[in-house]
Parts: sequence; structure tokens; C-alpha cells
Amino acid sequence: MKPGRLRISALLASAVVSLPALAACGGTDSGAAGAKPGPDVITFRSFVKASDVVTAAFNKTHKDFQVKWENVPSGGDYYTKLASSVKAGNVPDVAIVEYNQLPDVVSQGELEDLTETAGPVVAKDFPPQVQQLVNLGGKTWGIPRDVAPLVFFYRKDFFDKHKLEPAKTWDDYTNLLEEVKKADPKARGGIFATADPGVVAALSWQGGGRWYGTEGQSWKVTIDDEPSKKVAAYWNDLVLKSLVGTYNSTSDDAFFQAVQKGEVVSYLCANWCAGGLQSTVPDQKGKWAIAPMPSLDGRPASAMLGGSAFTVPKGAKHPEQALEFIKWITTDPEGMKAWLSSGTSSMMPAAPALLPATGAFKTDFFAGQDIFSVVSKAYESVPAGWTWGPSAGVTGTTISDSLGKVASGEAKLADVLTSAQQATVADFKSRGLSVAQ
Amino acid sequence: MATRPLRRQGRTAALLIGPFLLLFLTFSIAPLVYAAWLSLFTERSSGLGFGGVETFFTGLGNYGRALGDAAFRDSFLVIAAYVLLYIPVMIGGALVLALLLDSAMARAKRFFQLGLFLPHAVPGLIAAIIWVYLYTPGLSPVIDLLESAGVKWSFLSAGHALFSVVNISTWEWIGYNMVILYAALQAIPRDVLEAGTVDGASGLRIALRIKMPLIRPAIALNVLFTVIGALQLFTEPKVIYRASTEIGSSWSPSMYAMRAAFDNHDYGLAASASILLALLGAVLSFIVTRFSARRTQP
Amino acid sequence: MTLTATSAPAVRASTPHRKPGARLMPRLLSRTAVNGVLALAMLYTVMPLLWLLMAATKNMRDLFGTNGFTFGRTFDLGPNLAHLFAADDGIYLRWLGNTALYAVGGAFIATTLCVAAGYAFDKLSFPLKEKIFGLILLGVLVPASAMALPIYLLASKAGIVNTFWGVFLPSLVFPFGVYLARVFSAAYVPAEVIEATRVDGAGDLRTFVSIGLPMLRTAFVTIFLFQFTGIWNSFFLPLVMLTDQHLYPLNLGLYTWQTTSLNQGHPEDYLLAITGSLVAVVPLVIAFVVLQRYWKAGMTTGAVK
Repeated sequence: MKPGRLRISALLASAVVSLPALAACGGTDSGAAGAKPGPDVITFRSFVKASDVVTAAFNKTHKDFQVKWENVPSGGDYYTKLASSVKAGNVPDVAIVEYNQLPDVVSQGELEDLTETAGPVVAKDFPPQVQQLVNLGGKTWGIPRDVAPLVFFYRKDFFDKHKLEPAKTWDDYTNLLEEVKKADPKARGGIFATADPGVVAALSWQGGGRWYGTEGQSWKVTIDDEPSKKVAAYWNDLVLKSLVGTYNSTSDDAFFQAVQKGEVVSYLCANWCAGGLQSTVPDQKGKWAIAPMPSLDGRPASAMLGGSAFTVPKGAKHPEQALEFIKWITTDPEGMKAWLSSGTSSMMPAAPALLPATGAFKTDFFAGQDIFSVVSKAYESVPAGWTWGPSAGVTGTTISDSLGKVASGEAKLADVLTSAQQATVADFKSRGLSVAQ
Repeated sequence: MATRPLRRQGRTAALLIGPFLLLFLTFSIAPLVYAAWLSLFTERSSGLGFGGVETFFTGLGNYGRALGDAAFRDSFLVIAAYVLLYIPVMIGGALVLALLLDSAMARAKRFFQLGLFLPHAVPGLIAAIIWVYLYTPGLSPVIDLLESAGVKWSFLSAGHALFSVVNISTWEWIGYNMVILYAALQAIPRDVLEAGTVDGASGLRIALRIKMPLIRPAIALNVLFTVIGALQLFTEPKVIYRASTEIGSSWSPSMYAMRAAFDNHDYGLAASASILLALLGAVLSFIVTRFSARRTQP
Repeated sequence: MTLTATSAPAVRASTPHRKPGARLMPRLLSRTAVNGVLALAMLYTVMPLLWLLMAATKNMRDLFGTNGFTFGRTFDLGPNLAHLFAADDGIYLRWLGNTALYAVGGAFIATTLCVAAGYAFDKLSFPLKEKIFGLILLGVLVPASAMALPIYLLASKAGIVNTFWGVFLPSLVFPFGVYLARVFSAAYVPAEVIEATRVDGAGDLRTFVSIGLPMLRTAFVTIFLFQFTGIWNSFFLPLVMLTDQHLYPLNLGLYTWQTTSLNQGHPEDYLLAITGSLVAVVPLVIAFVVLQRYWKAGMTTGAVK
């Protein structure tokens, strides 16, 4: 046993000797690299597709400063990280924030006020319903990048083969789902996303629900209003009848596996799903198409699932360059083309003047269909008047924590909305926010 | 004369213990004290909430809120269910393996021991990542194997999450616990076993009647440590969280505290939840200490 | 607190208690059963590692398209490794280095502090000794995951959140190691030897360094392995403490890769977490096989978790 013991001490000793060398690089250079000669480098955190491409395109055409992109998880983990970065004083210069999260992020004091600098840009380049998403409490907090109306994605080959048509009304949609199941017992014509409360919100929005509103200086919270409950009951029924497949979200492995195997032949998603779909399931090129989503009365109506703005977090070290970069990636035609030419991003620009840039997105996957004309019509049909409240964390997790139970039949979606309503009001009150009854 | 070396001893002791004690006070005691202090405050804003926050003293209000929150209580129920499923599977499994390995029939004991222990060399997070892939339909050969055997099992859907988490923990720890129990079995005096053999008892009888009672203290200790380890459950559910439809954001107490802090920005609530978890852990550990002290005292 | 009486596994494989001649067939059957069950259990523990190995040699198509326990149609370990070390400007190597620093450096310093303190508690007398020791035992009782958020909250007050020190310094504290070291010191360092050096007039500190420390080598290795594993496994603390990727340990880096694998829609990114896990696990597995004598000795002398 003796020699072995000596050997391990020698191993430890050599490991320790190498420590100082490592310690030298274990410091705290956060990539900002202020000390390096040459142009400034600003940091950019984003999880949306083609963030890498757009950063590279910017760096190629701009010499006065450079951008370093940092990949971050999407969803709750991202906002957790943003909050702790602000608390730690280690923020990126540019950070993505989705519209539904913006009030929460702003109310926690995580962002720089951009009223002076970005305010005029937002007022000039964007329509009122988008302005309203980034102007909160009379101040501007970011510049919108994209809008994300829901549309209907479907396998045209499957639909043609079985003589099916995209549904116009929700009643038609129920029939369609039954037909799909009849045509292929393994296939489903829709999905229920158990980790994405945003889908529930969007469907309620389309159905005429309004979850948040303001009355003077008070919030009005109506997550379980009648239209939302009606929508909830409809989807609850589809889930229990197993007419739709249950997946976490439209971006997880299991979902894409099912698409690959032909077990999901149509589903509702925002336009940004197109990029993910064609880059993850390239084999199904030419087989997909897009149509308007069903509505209550058959007239066009949609709602937004996602959509994001770019912001400057509190304490950012290069706010001026940050703003220049943000303007380029949100309002410059070259920047917009960089997003769309990647083939992975199929976003719809929030600035109407940039719509022509969508021509950069190749639509072979959709057999050449002009998908953005469908998307922009869908966007025009989004009902006005929806606002988000500063409770994305509480409302979102209350709902998403229960969606699994809805899928297994242990809970009713309408009741989930009621508990989200209660949790949200309780949260507002405990935070001292004013709530109107 | 005797006091001088004593004083000198004190100085040496201060030198030897000082550095540890300083770090201990800074990184173990001080954080708890500070968290206890923070747990007495809450942040409030006003109006629509876009105008910043102010801090208020709330006494034990955060504790009331934590205990009154069904999500927090549920997280402990999850731990309880986890323990109820995990302990029999894990300890039972480890015990059976240790007894088999200790039986006269086993061959290649070193080889088996190493192979069974191997997962313990894998960090918990990586273990969880591997298993999440093995739980993913289309990717997992395990699901394919089950399917070809006629079993349709979805690891990630509702009702199965607890099992899936237990499986990861079992995979990581079964070899470890087996090695400990095996060592306890090896320490049984051979003449005790000889006596059993002479009486003509079978291997199985010897295992159940003679060996088991002799290593009962080691088993009990393992059980108690496993319970305390269960309170810490975080890594595995956190990794599965994204893939499973069942695991919510506050599935385990640690996840609850993390959600309170960073998703809900409620640091007072997070601090009080952490203090409650620490207290429960301390109480349980104290019981274990008492228990094992009684057991190991000669 | 938890030393069980199962000291060194001295008696290795005892002589089989065989009754000559009697019942050969049942014996053969039960031998097959015993070894069969053991082999099945081993299949369970080893198969996931085999899957990891195989997965790291495939491209994304084969990962989904071929059996998980076999090789794919193409052998892509090389490209996967190349992508692993090139991704994000070679950040994986940085993570490896950080982990070595956190785990090896942290465990080494922690162990040194523990052994020094444990020896002092055992061999020296000074005021308030048992009171201080009691306080340290209190630290053993609090579960580590309950400490992560309080440490984060205090660190954010002290301004060391998102620094190397925010993760490194807390990992130097290992109260249980002090307890272990005290027990080891009582067992391995005879009081008479210390007395003799005192009579010779040697100082207490010198006695510790030249006599005590060498005798506590086993204790050192045992405590080191415990704390090394502890730091390697720690995930909650770095997760809340660090936001700068350059400070991440491997654990956190792999988690990030696993959660962002499909973000940008590049199929090759999907394998980063898998190849990265394999590269991280291989040296650990080798170390465990090579050093098995030590961890076994450590675990069975202090049968603890």
C-alpha cells in the first residue's frame, strides 16, 4: 500500500504546482475586455435563432466596435440569469426580452430607461400596438425586433392525400383533428404544449380574453375572464379526447421526434416556428405549408406568441454602442436581412418598413409558398388592446406547473386559469401594487 | 511550570484552527445569520410597479407566507414520496447485491464491485444529462428495448417523474451503498458464519438469519443518510425539468427557494424558505447523530 | 459522528464453506443465479456509460437513427471532439481548467485546513475547545443545498457574486472533514509519540508538521477525495453565483449547452453536451479505477455520505 500512497501524494503535489498558472487566467475578465487595445467589445445575450449570424454580420460591416454574442437558455432560466446578473453587476450591454416578460423585468428595475435615446425611434418606425408593448409607465425600455402572430402549420402532403383542408373555425378544427386521427391512428393534427404558458395566453387573446389591464394607477387582472375560460374548456376537451398530442413545447426533442415520424401533421405556432422546423427536420422539405389559424366565427383572428425587443440592462458599460447595435439589428434593412438569410430565423419584423427583408428567407421547405404574406395578414388580424402585466414569473409558472396535470386529466385548464388569477392578484398585493377589483 | 506549555499549545491551536474557523464563520455561520436577517424583510412597490421598490420590515411574515404556500408544502410532500420510493429500492437493492457478492457463490467479486460502483464516479449533473437522453423518445434505446418487450413507458410524462428521478439517484448511489454494506458484511467474524454452516443452514438462510441482523446498524445509518440527502434534491429534477411535463418549477424545496429568489424576485421569501430547509435538515441530522452515537459507542 | 464499526475490510474473500459432494446440481444452479443477478445489475450501471460513449461517436442523424448501444453508420468522434474544443472560442478547455482549479485546488486547501484543525482538536488542549468543536459540528448538520442561497445573498452584499472567489472560497469550508480528521488523528497518531517529542523540547507546530502530518496521510487522502467529489458535484451554488461563462465549472457549462442545444438550429451543437460529458467522465472513471484502493479504504473507515 505504501508505494501507491506515495504516488497519490506526488499526483496531488503536481496538481497543486500547476494551480498558480491556472489562477492567472481564473480572473474576472468578462469578455468586455476594456483593457485590450483596438475597438471596444460589447456583449450581447440572446437565445433567438440566428443571433450568431446577425452578430457576425454586424462585426463584418462595423469597425468602430465589435459585438460578442453569448448563447443563453430560453425561457425561465434566461430571466433568472438576467435578474442575477443585474444583482451581481455583471450585465451584458444588450439583452433580449420578450414582450410578455418586459413589464416584469422593468418593474424589477433590471433595465436602463431608453426614453431619450430609443423613444423617438420607437415612435417613428413602429405601429401603435407594438409601441404599447415597449412603452411602459410612460417610458421606453427597448426597441421591438419582431412580432409573432399564430398561424397554422400543416403537412400539405398528408392533407392532400387524405383530402383535408385547414380549418376555418374551431368547430371545423375539432372535425379536422378527428379526421386526422381516423386517417392515421398514430398521427395528430395539433399539440398541447405543457411547458409553455404563452400558448394559453395567446389562445385566450385570440378568443377575446384580456388578462391584464390598467385603470389609472391600478392593475386590473382578469386571467379567468369568460372568453379565456371558454378557450380553456375547448382545449381541455381536445386533450382529454386525445385529439392533440402532448409535448413540452414546440422546441423540445420529443416534439421534433414526433414531427420526424409523422406523428404531428399540423399544429398552431407563431411564424418563428418555421425556422426551427426547417433546420431541425430538413428531410420534410417541400412537404409543409402555412395557413391562417381557426377562429370562433371564421373571420381572420390571430394573437401573438412571443415576439421580442432588445434592451439595455441596468449598469451596462457601453450603453451608446449598445443602442447603435440594437438599432442596426431591429431597424436597419441590412441587419434584418442578416436575421432572415440565415435560414434558421423566420421572424416577422416589427417595423412594417422592413417587411421586404423577409424575401431573404428561402421558402423551399414550404414548397416556395409565400409564407410571410400569410404571416403579415395574421398579424393584421391580431385583436388590439392586449397588455402584459408585471407578473410573467408568477402567472407563467403557476400555469405551466399545472399544464402537465391538465394533460393527464388531473386538473381542468379553466381551474388552472382561476388559480393563476388568484396567485397573480396575491403576488401584486404582496408586492404593494395597486389592484382594482 | 505546567501552564507554559499549555499556553504555547493554545497558540499553536489558534494557528492550526484559526484559518478554518475564520472561513467557517464567514461562509457557514454568517450566511445563515444574514439570511435569517433578510427573511424578516419584504420588498414593496406601489401603483403600477414601474417606479422601483422599497424594503419593509415584516417580522415572521415571510415564514407565514412560505408555510402558507401550497407549492412549498407540496415540495416537501414530493420529498416524502421520493424517500418512500427511493429508500426501499436503493437500500434493498444495495443490500441484495452486497449479500450476493458476499455469498460463496459469487465469482469475480472485484470486477462486479468496480462495475457496480462506476456510476458514482460520474458527477450528478452528467448522470442526469445522460439519463434525460435515455428518457427521450426516439433517442433512447431503453424505451425501444421496453417497447420490443411490449412495455409502453414514457419516462417524462405525468405520473412518471418521481420514478425517473429515483432511477437516476439509484443509478448513482446503489454501488456506493453496496460497497459500504459489503464492507460491513466482510467484517462479520468468520466463526459466526462457520457455526451457521456447520448447522447445515443454506446460503439464503445464513444471509437472512445471521448476516442481516449483524449489519442492521450499518443499514439503519444508510437509510438515515439517504433521507437527509433527499432534502437536497436539486440537480436531477432541475435537469429533467425542461423535458418533463410533470416536474414544475418548485418541485423540490431547493427549487422552490431558487424560484422565489430569481423568478419572483422575492428574496425575503427565498431566505425564509432556505432557513426552514436548513432547520429541518439540522433537526434530522441531529437525530441521526444521536442515533449513530448510541450505536457506535462501545 | 458516524464512524461505524466496520473498520478496514481486512478479511478478503473467505474460504467457501463447501460441503463436499452434496447437491452439486442445485449448487450449480444457484451459482448461475447469483452471478446472473450481479451481471444484470452491472448491465444497469454500465449501459448508460456505454450509451454515452457510443453517442459521442455519432452525428445527429445517427444519434436518432441508430441503436443507442451500437456504433453509428459513420464514426464521428473526431469531428465531434474538434467541434467540442472549438465551440465558443474553445470555452470547454476553460471550463475544464476552472473545474480543476475549483475541485483540486479547493479540495487540497480545504483538506489541509481540516487536517490541521482536526489534529489540534485531538492533540492540543486549549480553552473553549469542546464549545468550538460543537459549533463546527453544527455546520455539519445543515444541508449544503440550504446553504447555497444564503451564501449567494451574503456574497452579493459583499460584491463577490460572479467572481472566481464566490465559488472557490465557500468550497474551502468542509466541517465534516474536521470531524473526520479529529477521529483519524486519535486513531493514527499515538499520544505517546507526541509526548516524547514534547519531552525532547520540540515545539507543537513542528511536531505537527514533522510527526503528525506524515502519520495522517491516509486521513488526508480520504478527506481530499470526499471534498473533491463534493466540489465536482456541486451545481446549485455555481448556478446561482455565476453568470459569466468564463468562470463556469464544467457542470454548469454542460448544463448550459444541454439547455441551449437547439436554440440556434445547428445540428452539430446538439452533440456538445454529449461529447463534453464523455470527455469529463473519462478521466474521472480512470481515476476511480486506478485509485479504487483509496476510496474504498476511505469509505469503509468512515462509512459516511
